[in-house]
Amino acid sequence: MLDDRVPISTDKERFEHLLPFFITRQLGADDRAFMQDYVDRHADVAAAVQFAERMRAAVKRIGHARDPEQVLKQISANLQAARRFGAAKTLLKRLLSRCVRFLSYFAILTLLTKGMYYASEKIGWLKVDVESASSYSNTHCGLTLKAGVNAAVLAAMIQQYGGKIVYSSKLLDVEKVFVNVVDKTRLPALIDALMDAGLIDAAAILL
Amino acid sequence: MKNLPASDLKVLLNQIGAGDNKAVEKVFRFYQASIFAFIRLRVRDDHCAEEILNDTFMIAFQKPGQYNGSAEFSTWLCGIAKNVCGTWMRKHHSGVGQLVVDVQGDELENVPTPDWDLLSRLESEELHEVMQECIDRLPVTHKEAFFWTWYEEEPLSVVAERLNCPAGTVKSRLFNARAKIADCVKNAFGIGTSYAG
Repeated sequence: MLDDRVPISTDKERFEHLLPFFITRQLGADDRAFMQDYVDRHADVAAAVQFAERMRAAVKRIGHARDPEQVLKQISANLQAARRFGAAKTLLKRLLSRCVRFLSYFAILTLLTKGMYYASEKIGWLKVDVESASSYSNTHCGLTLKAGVNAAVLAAMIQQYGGKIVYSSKLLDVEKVFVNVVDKTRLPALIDALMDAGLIDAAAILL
Repeated sequence: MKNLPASDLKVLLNQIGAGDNKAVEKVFRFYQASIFAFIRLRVRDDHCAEEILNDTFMIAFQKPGQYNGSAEFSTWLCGIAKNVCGTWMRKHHSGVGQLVVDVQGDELENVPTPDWDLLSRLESEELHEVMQECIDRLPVTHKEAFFWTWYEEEPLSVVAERLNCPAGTVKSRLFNARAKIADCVKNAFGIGTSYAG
């Protein structure tokens, strides 16, 4: 009976314990000398050595008749497939990442546009005076005409001073025109001339 | 287990990482026999062992950069093989997984010394196959001791290190396993169990 929990007490036990390493020649000098001496002195242990040799041969023969080429072929094929799959995966990942980036930029742009629209249209933060910009942006003075004034005479006179009528309105028989002049310094002279000619009742210079 | 020189191995692993099939062949051919034996002693079936061998090398070759050189490459491969075997056995629990644990480790304690002389007279051609079958019935810990001692022919200190147990345990496992195999062979040939110890 052999048990590693108790010290080896006999040469027989020591022999049995060292035998697996004796047959592979993996013992230190002392153990090897002991084993050789033991084998030489006990002819009956030859059978144990022989059986251990057979067991070792059985272990050494594991897989000796197999053909590893099949596994190698399979591994090569699997690796190639894995690499192809990996490359496709990488490409897909890259495309997805670009797509996500594009969508993010698009979303940010949309939000900004919407925000600006909201700010200008709904809240009026960015609103400019559209009316003055569109109708009177270039108007330098407003003239209240006398009743029955000949528009052609008025226009010709304004033209003489480098101006033109850009807008006119009529409310309760009071007709107004808005005039744009190239040279603002000529405005007082124009107003005086129109007053003198009896064409206007009042004039207002617009800032 | 023999290993490729560290510098050669590093180059080969880099080549494998870059997709070089020649490097794959070289490393596979060098290690496959030992790793197959290591696996085959854990699972009883040759076909299963081949599948596990395939999976083991696939894992190693797909991420060769994970080998950092802190242990021998063979040790690293055996670690992968051990994990793959574990996964494989869990998956196929009703099959080979059961076959592997026919004999419990405890049953091998305190086995009497067999009549080696009687066994040595067996000259059957079937002896080898019977012996292989008997080895298969051993627990994994004992088969692993056989692998490192007799397949890889490592010295006792290295075997103890590989099995992560004291040298005395290795010696005990080896003796008890041999005795159990002797008993198994005798039963297979109808000799009966007569112990000389």
